Amino acid sequence: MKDYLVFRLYGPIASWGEIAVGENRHSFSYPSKSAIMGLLASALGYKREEEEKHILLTQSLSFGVKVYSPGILLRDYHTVQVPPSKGKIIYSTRKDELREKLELNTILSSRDYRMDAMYDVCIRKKKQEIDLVEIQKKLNEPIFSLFLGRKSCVLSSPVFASLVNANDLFLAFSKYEQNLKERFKKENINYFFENEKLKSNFIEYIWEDEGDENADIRTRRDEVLSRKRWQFSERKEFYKSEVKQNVPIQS
Amino acid sequence: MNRFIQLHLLTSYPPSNLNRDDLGRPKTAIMGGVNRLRISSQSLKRAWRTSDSFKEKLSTHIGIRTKEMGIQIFESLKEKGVKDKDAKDWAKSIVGVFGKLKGEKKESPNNDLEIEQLAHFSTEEKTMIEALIAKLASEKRAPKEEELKLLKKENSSADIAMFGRMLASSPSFNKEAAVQVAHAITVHKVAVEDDFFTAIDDLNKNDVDAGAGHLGDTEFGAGLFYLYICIDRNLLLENLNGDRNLTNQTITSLLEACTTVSPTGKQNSFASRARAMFCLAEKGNQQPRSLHVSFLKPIEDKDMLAKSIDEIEKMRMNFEKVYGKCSEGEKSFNVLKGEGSLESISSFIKED
Repeated sequence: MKDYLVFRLYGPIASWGEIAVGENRHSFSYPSKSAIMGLLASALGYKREEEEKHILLTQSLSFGVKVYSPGILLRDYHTVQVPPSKGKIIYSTRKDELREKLELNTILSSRDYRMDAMYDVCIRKKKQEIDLVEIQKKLNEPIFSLFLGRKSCVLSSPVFASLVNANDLFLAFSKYEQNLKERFKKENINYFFENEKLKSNFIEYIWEDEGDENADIRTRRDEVLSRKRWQFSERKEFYKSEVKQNVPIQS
Repeated sequence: MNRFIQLHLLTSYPPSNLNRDDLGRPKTAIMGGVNRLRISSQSLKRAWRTSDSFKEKLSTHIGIRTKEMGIQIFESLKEKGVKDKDAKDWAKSIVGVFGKLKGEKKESPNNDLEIEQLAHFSTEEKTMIEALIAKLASEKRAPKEEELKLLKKENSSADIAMFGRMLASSPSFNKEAAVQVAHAITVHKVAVEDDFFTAIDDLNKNDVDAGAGHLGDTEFGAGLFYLYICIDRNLLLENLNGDRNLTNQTITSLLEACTTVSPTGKQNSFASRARAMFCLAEKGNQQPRSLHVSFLKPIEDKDMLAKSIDEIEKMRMNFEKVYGKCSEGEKSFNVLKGEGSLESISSFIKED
């Protein structure tokens, strides 16, 4: 039996950054390891520049994601008006920046989001110096506010971080959901996560560490090497999906 | 101290096109599988940040607005015994941080010390400039580049403290936003509508061509929007260099802006200015969560506003039943019933 910390990520829109340079900011269909570690760091109150803490966190934890719904793509056309850069001038307010209307330039930025997406995340510790109970506490009462990849992508339900003891992460996920469902049932409240739109026809699992011969192996470049220099190294993860209902797959 | 302040707003916009995509259509999003109108986070923030009400509310903290700061610095350096030429060069490099300088002019010798546009100097910036002048005069040297950069680094601008700043070219000026603003989306299903229009040529007497002078179409939509904002009070306080008064003032000006200021998009065609009909404020240290799920199933009731308010309040209670306490306290106003006020929410969210 192993200890897992499981929590739920749900919000109307989410954005899980992929490798992006320039105008188009794409979104992956599930949170990457760096996104989850960033979320935990936010809960724990780590600042961006506290590099050692971020690296320790990343190296000490392995993660898994259960995708209930990968969401529908939203491509947001976004323009930003910017003043020309004039030597040393630093603008102190947005109003200040936009004063010289005729000199403003426009930057285009197309940003991708996922609508109606829902995930459960589980983490397991690889090193002794990390305390899962502390992380659980901080997720439920975070130091900085949590968000789904972008600050405007707010969480729309409590993450309900819970410690689960189970044989493997798949069982940990199902124990967690069962527990949550029972809480709704006990209070006689509709389990809104069962909404048809928050479910897809198949459930996907992405995880690291616990090998499985039926799983695909994927390589992703999202293990944090340095947040300051924005460097990431390659990391292997496993992927598995199971069909949930016997219905034709929607496009 | 309660770390998080959460605001939930319901604002009803008549036919409008407040926030458009690259085709000029109102922006939309899908939630709970149905199409809804959307006003993006960035659009809302821009409207608030550039609104007059925002500036006025924070004006006691706005230092001074002038083109002539350079001349003051120049005089002050001279007074402290700095040679004319040095004083001018140093003054120019200091004030050059705040704006583009005017050119030289024969008839007014100090013309090149003035900034082309009015620049805003906060109280802190003024104090720092004075300190720098004293230092330069006593050490008899020109300002260093880092000293010039410092002038604006600690600016306590409420605007950037709230919404953050990212400068790829100089990361030391970056600030982490203390306020989260979600995209506003309608609580109900919306289909964007087309308005086909023609413009008549007033001088066309129909003798040769009876057609219209111009044909076009505008897309628009109307809806009741749910907007969620989460303020991290501790981070805001830190961004504002620990100034508690300013933090409170900033929070209340944000409340005022988000309940009263509408985005400016197509306002001349639609005059869709609106105020929030309902506002619920919560404060606490618990993990913030929006109440979007109240509308996951789109509202279809004829009495949409009343039903939406009910759903928000019901969902807040249900969350607490299932997950335990989600905040330490809440307060609301409801324009439909004439209950509560902006004033009372304002004093509720100020630091206790």
